[in-house]
Amino acid sequence: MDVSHASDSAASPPQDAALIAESWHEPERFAEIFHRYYKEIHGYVTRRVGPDAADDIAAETFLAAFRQRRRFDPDRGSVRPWLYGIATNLIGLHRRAEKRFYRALAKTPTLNAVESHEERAADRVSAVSTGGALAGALARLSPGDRDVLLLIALADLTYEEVAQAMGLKYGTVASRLNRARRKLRESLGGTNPTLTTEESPA
Amino acid sequence: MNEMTMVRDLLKEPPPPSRHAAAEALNRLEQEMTGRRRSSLRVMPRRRWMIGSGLLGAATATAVAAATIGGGAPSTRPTPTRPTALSAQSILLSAAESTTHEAAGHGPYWLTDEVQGWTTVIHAPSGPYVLERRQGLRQWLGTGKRPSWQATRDLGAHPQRPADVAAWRRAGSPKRWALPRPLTSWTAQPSGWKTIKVPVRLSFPDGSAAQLRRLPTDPAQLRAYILRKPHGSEGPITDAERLYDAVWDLFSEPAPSNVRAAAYRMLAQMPGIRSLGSVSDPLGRRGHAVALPSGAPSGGPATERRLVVDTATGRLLAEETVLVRARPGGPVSDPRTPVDQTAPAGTVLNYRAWQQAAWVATAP
Repeated sequence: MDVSHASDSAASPPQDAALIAESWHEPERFAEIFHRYYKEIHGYVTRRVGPDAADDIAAETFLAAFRQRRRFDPDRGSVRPWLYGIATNLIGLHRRAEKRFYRALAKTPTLNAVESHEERAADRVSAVSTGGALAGALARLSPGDRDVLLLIALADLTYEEVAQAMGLKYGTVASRLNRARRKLRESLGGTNPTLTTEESPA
Repeated sequence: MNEMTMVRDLLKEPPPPSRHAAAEALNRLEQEMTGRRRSSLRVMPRRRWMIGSGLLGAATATAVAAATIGGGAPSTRPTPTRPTALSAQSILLSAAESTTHEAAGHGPYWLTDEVQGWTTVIHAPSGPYVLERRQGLRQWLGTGKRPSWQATRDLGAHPQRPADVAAWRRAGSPKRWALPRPLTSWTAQPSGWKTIKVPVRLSFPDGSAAQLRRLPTDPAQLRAYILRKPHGSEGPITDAERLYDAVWDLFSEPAPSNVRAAAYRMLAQMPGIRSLGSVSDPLGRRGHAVALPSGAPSGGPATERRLVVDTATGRLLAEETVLVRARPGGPVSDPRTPVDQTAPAGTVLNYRAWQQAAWVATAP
């Protein structure tokens, strides 16, 4: 057991559920959940609303999780999706911050992955404008579609885990993801001819 | 390139959270967990605890420091004892009666989990303040020929009391401190677990759990047994010290409940033991404390070891050592002198707070 990397795995270690159960009677045990997941939750929140709002929302996530810890049911799923669900719901309460974040992104987008020496100038220009278009397209998705898309893209949750996190049926997760991806492709279709659809999430 | 990859690239991987953000978030969670809602900075509860000897080589730094902490009466326990507060004997005997819980879990490793704290005084140009550092400690003691492991995690350092928080703010709210003795630095940021293999053994007889089960269950016989056992301390040690050290070991190792009950009864019979009434332990848990007088060279500073117990369950919650009498002539302010010479009366030197213990199947 490599304790220092417990939070790197995509699935929650079985000990997490035990920690939550222990924290029902020994509240301080919950601190271990914080230590395992704070950094990654903070990272997810930052990628969704930007650095200014992230500190507070990330902290609130663990407070909310602590307050709700008795409702966590290990038979229904694991801790990591549960925390992402709480974070996502809190982001939902900060819609204006999220919209501001996308507007800022749309104005000064940088697509890191396309900065390579082999890129031709035309492609680079196209990539920059694509970034702007993408930010706008993300902002225009319905919140439910966006949440599902970003939980899969940023948090690497499986469909089942997204279903657990957001309290949805598996089929709903799949249909929201498909709709979100289709809408993004439509928004970007005119500017990037290399879009493909072969990727399937974990 | 597809839209999922583009989304990930657009919303690129951010830098890790700032130390301040992490510390603030943890602080807020801790306040929630312990039910305290005081200032926004981490203010430790009024614990004046001290750890005596380390368990099996765990770090017990003697905090450096000197201080004349500005003004202020010596810190006192949070709850004054009413005249009808439980006596030390009542506390200990209640705990003995309640001790029925046997060790939990299954497996060849005895996993223990505790929080240790110790303090130093920081001499800022704007005024000194007490800084308390906490560390999480876990140990997996392997039975038979299995190796043992120890994992430690820094839980960060923070000013201890409201007056210390105020002085810390005047000093610019630093998050990192360099200490002259021992030469080290403390930080407010908690760290992850670091795990190492250690040559650790159970304290009792040949280190086997089976021998623990054969310890005397009569208080007088237990006392005699402990005093006959060779002790691992350097330097002279009083009988009282040996007994207190053994009590901690009996609760942190898988001793049977009737042996633990005998340990409480043994303490109840020690002369000079006094009640401190209802208190909060270093982790904010409620319990009752008894003070065990420590020997002190006459004319020198005097420390007192305290135990916090949960009389309802018989659990030993924490142990601490408090400086109850400062050095005659007052504390000195040389940061390189040992803390019992330099701290004011009432300062906690260090503590151990017990979290849990169980038998587990695997070690790191």
